[in-house]
Amino acid sequence: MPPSKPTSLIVAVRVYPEPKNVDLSFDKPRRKWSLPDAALVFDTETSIDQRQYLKFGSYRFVVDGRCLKEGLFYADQLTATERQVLERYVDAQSAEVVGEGLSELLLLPRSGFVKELYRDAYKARCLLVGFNLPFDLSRVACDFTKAEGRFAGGFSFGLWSYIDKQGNERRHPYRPRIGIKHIDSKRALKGFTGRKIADDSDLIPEGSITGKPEEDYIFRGHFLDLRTLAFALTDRGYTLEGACEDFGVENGKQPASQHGIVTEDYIRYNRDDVQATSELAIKLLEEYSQHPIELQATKAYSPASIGKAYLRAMGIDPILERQPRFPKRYLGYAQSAFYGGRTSAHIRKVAVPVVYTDFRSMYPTVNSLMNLWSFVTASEINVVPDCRAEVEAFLGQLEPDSLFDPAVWRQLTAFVQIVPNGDILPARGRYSVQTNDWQVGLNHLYAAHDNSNRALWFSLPDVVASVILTGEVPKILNAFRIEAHGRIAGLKPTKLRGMIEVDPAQQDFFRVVVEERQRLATRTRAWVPTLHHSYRYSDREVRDPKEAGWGAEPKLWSGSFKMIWNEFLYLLQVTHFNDAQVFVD
Amino acid sequence: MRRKRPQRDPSAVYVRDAIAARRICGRQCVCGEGRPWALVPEKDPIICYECLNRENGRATVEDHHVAAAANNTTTIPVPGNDHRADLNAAQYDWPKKTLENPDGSPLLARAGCIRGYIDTNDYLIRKFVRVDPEVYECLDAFLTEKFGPQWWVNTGLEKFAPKR
Repeated sequence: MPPSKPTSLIVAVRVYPEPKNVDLSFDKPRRKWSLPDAALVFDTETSIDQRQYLKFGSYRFVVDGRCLKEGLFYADQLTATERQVLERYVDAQSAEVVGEGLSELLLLPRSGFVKELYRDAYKARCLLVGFNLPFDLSRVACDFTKAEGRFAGGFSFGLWSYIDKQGNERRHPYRPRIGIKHIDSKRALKGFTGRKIADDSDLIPEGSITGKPEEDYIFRGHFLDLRTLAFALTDRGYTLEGACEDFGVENGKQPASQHGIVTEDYIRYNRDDVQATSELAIKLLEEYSQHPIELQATKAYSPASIGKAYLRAMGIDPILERQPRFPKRYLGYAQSAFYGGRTSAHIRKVAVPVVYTDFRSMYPTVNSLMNLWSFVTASEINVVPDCRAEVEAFLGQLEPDSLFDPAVWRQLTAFVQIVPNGDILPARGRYSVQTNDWQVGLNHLYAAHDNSNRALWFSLPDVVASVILTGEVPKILNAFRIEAHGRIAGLKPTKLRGMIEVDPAQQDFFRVVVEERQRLATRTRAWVPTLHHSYRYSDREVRDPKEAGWGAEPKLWSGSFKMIWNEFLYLLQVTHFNDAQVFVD
Repeated sequence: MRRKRPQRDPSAVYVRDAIAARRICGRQCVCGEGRPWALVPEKDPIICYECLNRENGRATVEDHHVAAAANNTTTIPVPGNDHRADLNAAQYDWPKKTLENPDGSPLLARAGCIRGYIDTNDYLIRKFVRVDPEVYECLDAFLTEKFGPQWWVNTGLEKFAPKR
């Protein structure tokens, strides 16, 4: 039952911003990457107050899965008593390394450890491994600022400093900083920033075949956050303990008797954590290597990243690469009609009646029913404009039962511009005063004024849902359909996780993954579900329009209503899976 | 007193090798030399020090300062590529002060001599003594095929057979 008087709410939509130099961003060569054989694995322990200051930590230098060096490090402000505990500990213990490793268990101040980190992770380009890496990196930093450019909206951490002639600690001007920008609780963009003066060897790009330095090259690092990789592989948020269990790590996480106070037991606990992290890295990378894709493990931010890499592996490039003249206006309309699904509980710790509804594999099932694979593999997608009468007629005779006919679903590849008048449609707004967060809700939606300036674009399936729920066909101003034509030349078969062959020219990929999931009873280490969700959205994020080469005021194709710049920045976080991908790096 | 031989810092070795390898990008000299430290990365096509010296009419053998020049003037002649890829590279692991001995400390000079002796000994062992076990295994398979499973019986090698 709709309220008698609608509540006023600003709604926001996604947009498609047209980059200034489309061709340049697409023409960047994709460099080959090979997984480094060495890794610096570390973990920190902190005070247990709100500030969570670094107390100490430990690290391992691992080559080909074999630990060659192990050490502890401590915070500069550690008390003398606490430091003595560490000193006594390293005197009594030796490093847990293989035969040719350094048998001495090292003890370094924070500055000594970050020197090793610089040498290993930046100069030698090893993997830098941790579980929830952004937290640990922030603990070993000596300063931070707001990040700019690539990591705008995040933090820029300085790990390296020097002592000037007056005895003051200053930022090291010739070391890179580390930029971190969180996407959500499981994912963060991480990378080294540029240096004032880089050595020639640091300017040799990854995968270079000439070994020649390139002046504008910036090595971003190989930051491997195992929390992110585990999520990308399974679509599940893990703790270190849970990940170790699920991925069969022999020496998993051990419990700590007490946190925040430096004791022998606590040091042992920290060393065990690093060992568990190190072993988990091997397991996760083994699992990741089963996927025949070229995506760097360090850039697998989500299941969607892996899904997109599979598309590349099958010879499917983003639509704008193969059809650069696709009309951007329609990309804008389609983009503004996109509402990514997510569920969240707004009522917590209160018993309320619920209806348990389980849609297994809903996204790929809908994709398959709508025959969207033909669009993904099309050599060309055509827009059929001005379909208002056709869509009105379709909606006018629509009955819920007609949706049990698969042929009807194939007619849903259209977008509709309507002036909402109590229709039940998705809208993105700040529904909660407490969180002030943009959320998508499905509500009765009214335009403030009945004119075309208040019209919004929706995908036809959303409008179909509204018609079924309300029994009313909305007021339609405009509509267009899209049609897939032809098939990309050079489609290549692939094997899902190296096991299940898929021929993109012959099979509907979405259908294959739905069927595979159905076939697999277990959800443990569920790599098929991973791919299920790979097509619901892309996680490629547009972080700064200027950095993306769009200039200060990019041309927006978002329909006919105004956007606020701040919202624009916010809303550009996610792009649709299909043809609206924006490549910025 | 420390009785163990000095240990190399494995991550320092790795870092140096990784940087050298990056400059080489998997390329090799026409002679087959592929060790990054033995190659001249600036040359295109890439070439090793020995071939470069040969091309320029210079000797392919170089004099190696066993204890580092700052500590002792003793040199030994070694192939140029080994000089750079093995013996010089090993000296990068020495403490900088021992390697450079800026003040001419007699103790550091002595330390340099000991380290140099160990490095050179390691090099010679690798070069002359530590033959690949695969060579023996391959030869044993060949002889077994040719003369049967106990091919060494009634030969001069019988005395080396394990006692059962």
